[in-house]
Amino acid sequence: MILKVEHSTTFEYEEPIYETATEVRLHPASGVNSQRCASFSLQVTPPAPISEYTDFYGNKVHHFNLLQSHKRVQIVATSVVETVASPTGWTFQEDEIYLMDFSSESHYVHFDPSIQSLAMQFKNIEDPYEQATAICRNINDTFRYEPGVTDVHSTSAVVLALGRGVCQDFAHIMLAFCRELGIPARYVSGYLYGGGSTPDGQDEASHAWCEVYCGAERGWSGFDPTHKTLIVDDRYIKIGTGRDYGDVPPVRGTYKGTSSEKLSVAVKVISLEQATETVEGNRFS
Amino acid sequence: MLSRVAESLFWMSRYFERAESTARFLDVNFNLMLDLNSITSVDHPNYWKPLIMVMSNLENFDAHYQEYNVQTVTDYLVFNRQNSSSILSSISMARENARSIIESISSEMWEQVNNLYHFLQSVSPQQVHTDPYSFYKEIKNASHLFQGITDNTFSRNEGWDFVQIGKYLERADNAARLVDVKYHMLMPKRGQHLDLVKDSVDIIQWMAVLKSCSALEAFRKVYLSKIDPDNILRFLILDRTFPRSITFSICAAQEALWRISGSSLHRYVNNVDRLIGKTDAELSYTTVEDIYHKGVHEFLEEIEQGLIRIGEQLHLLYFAYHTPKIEPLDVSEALPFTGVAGGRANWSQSQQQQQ
Amino acid sequence: MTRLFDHYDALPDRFFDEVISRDGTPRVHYEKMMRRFIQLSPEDIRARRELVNIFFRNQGITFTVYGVDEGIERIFPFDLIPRIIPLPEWETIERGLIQRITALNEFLSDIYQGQKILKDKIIPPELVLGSKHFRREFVGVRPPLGVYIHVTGSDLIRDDAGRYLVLEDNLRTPSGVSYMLQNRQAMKKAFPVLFDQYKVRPVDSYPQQLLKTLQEISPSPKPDPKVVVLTPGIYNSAYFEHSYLAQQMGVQLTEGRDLVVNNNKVYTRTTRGLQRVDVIYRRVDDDFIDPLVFRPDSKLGVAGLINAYRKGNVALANAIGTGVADDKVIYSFVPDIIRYYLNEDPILDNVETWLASNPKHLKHILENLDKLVVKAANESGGYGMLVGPESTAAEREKFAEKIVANPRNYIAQPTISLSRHPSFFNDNEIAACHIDLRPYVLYGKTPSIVPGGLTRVALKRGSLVVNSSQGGGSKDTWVIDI
Repeated sequence: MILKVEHSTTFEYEEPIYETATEVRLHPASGVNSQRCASFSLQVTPPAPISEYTDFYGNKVHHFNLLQSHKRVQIVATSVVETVASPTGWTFQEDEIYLMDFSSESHYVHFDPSIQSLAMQFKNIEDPYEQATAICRNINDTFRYEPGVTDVHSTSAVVLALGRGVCQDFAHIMLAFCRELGIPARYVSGYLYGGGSTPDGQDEASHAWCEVYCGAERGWSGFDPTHKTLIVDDRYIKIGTGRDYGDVPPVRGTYKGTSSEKLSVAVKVISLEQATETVEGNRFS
Repeated sequence: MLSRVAESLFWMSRYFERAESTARFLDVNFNLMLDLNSITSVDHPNYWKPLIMVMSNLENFDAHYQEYNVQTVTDYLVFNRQNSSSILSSISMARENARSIIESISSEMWEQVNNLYHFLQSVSPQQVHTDPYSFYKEIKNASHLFQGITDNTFSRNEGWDFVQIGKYLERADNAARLVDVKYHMLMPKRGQHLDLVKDSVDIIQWMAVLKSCSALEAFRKVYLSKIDPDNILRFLILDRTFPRSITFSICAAQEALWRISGSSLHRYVNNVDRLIGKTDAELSYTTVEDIYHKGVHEFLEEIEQGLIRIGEQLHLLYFAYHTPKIEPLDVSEALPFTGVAGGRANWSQSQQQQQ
Repeated sequence: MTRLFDHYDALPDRFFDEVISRDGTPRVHYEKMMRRFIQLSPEDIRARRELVNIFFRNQGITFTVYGVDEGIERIFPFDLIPRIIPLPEWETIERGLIQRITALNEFLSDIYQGQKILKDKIIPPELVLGSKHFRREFVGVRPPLGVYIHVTGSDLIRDDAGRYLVLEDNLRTPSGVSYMLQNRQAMKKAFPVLFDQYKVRPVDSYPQQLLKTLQEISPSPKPDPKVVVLTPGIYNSAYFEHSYLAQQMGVQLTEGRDLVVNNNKVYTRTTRGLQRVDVIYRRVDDDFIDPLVFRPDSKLGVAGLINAYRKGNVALANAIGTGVADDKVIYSFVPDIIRYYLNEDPILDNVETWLASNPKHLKHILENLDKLVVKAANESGGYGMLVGPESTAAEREKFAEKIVANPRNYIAQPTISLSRHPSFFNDNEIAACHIDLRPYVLYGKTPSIVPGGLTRVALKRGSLVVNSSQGGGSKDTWVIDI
């Protein structure tokens, strides 16, 4: 599919603030035999020169700063991405050291005792892909999708105890299960096409899921524990990957000043292929 | 020069001057009590209350003490850490500021601040009560020594100018408050000034005001022994040669500001220079009669308000850790002075959960 | 010998004594020193101590103690008797440290660009990836000249045979060099004649050499690059040192709030506007240096600094992420690191070390807790450690739990009988106190060491902990021509 994403982030302040410094991870990934990012643009208001670099996990990072006092910052990322039905392009021989990073605990992903005991039920499945599918289905079945009970900094342990959360939390839980069982797994930040990223079809945020390493031959496969369809296909647009949310926050920054802050986000994903849009859209709902 | 360093130099100097003023007022009041003791009863709280009005505020004092007497007032103005302008607090703040710029001042200056700080740590209230004269003398001398050391070991650059500005703005402010309060005490009714100072208690009190500013001898050289309020106001507010008068202090601060900015007479390049120039011009063309006409309290209050505005603009222009490009030009929107280890911290932007 | 040294309790069978040799006679290079001290009456000593104390206090040479009496400033205890190292001995130390630092720099360069040593399985990769000081943000960024550790201070001790061993490497923001410089000043004031009798190698050029090192790593071709020192502020325990070094180098001492990043360039905020900075000698830890990249709650850092660094617009000394190489677990691999990169045998040995993350070692550690010193891998300053022989059974039991819960975080070493040196307990009593040595290595275009260092001394009777935060003091250290 050819999908267009418009992701807008706005910070508003009661009083002037100054020296905003922000890093954004909003550039969709590009790979061979997987999605291809055809175009990307980033607009910042008030205008600021934008720099970029590639981080440890291969994600493109853009950053800018605003010295002068201001009461509003808006960041709009617009990209056009060509997705494929079963992305295999992320498959390649990953080096062992890199994989190690996706096999241990991280800031949001903890091996607490309850994860350890719950993970036992998947222990006897041999094939890592089947294991991951079972884990993914289990999370989708047993956890309730409910915004507002967790926040951006909730760890897997907290979510596990609550039994509820949003996609970010589901992804962290799945990472904890996989890694506990010795399967390398990583967090994916991105978007989902089809009437919104949440099950109730809202368009207010970006989406998150997991990629699980299923051996050298099969490579990385995408799983989405938030949605019943489980398997990642061409409705998914991937921005980047990391150990957990902390490695790929879409927008992260600092400012100086004493004002309160209001954040609003709008995400719009549309298909540029008129003919297929309805079909694709329906398939999800 | 780093904005933070300039700011610390300014406050170091300002706090040192404040400590000296406090010591001076206490010392003189103490002597005044001795002088008056033979004429009238000195138990009245009104002999101590004005000191609190000049150097601090009554509410804060009342929150800590029951009555105004030599013990409580001395304790409050010398040792009390809850009083941000007590001698101990002032010297601690001067030292904190000095410590944060220790590499920018001469080691002799640091030693002097540090010595005084350690001296204060070693003094007990009992010692001050037994021998107030020596104690206040020590503080005043330490301040003079500090200024002498600064003049002789610190390069005459921007930093030195900020030290001067701090010292003279504080001094002008203290002088204005002192005259204001004393005048208020001794001149309860406007317009009747000439008749009321006749009795000797008042004369002794006016002499004490002059002594508080080390001004008695200088005053006598100008006005011989005609100690009347007109002359005293003229001398303490308008004299251009006496280094503790308001006008002199404003002029000295103005000169330092000009050296930094390159402004000159009738040509200002920024708001601080404009405001201090205005105050100076005002004082230059004022007579004692004008002051009476306006009302002494009103006149002095206007000067005090002017000094506050000058301080704000100075902060905005040189200290706000900004170039004017970064921070809003409006005082109310800019960040306030936050003390040595204060704010100006980074805050994290909110992040949205991925859903 | 009379008086002062009469009751000196050298125990040459148990400890290496720096002054008294095994047969009970003074070592040659200490003879003049002893003769001088014997001439002094207790009053002379007291007068000199007073002189030195006033010197330190007036200079503001104090440090802040955490824990008990929080925030109290103390004078760092200074011992009047100098530690003397003959030149040939020093030259071995110098060669050994330069070898070690060169290899550690190679290691950091490899870890952040290629990770060959991990692929070759010389070091288990999980130990590096699991180190909290490994900075993924810094992988692939090459610092100017390829140098990561511009200022280091490795701690050396001597075992009972007098062999110098490296106890730990401090590759992040080692402190104490100002004491080395000030101790020398104090000794020159207190013992001018004695000082004159020895040909003591000077250490006073350290600030100039530090400045030269910093200028060498400037990314800008300017002949006079702008260097600043970055301090966490006056409440930091080493604040005096930061300001002292800035003053001695003639550069600005800045706090995080004095710096601002605009378009990936770093500036100081001055009364005349923003001014460009080329090199930052930072004494703020990685975690706190840039709230945009590291700890977002840091109030000490400069937002955007790391991106400016990444773009090559500013140099940092030391580089980001050097802590991965002074981690106490990685420490145990330093001899292998030296062999791997330099193909040489280490000149200075390590102290034997067991890793709790290695199951075999762990068993040994738990069985010998009463004999070992156990340390947390990422702590410094003598915090988070267990000194086995001085501990109670209850303390050992509690510590064992901590080790088992997080083995990656602990190492153990035998209790080394640090060498001893006569030091004043009070004005007329001299006792043998344990000492160590921290020389400072500078690394710009090439590594170099100022002849001397900070000799720390455990002034609590029998104590082995020399850290200033734990009741230690220091001595002047004289490297002398013989």
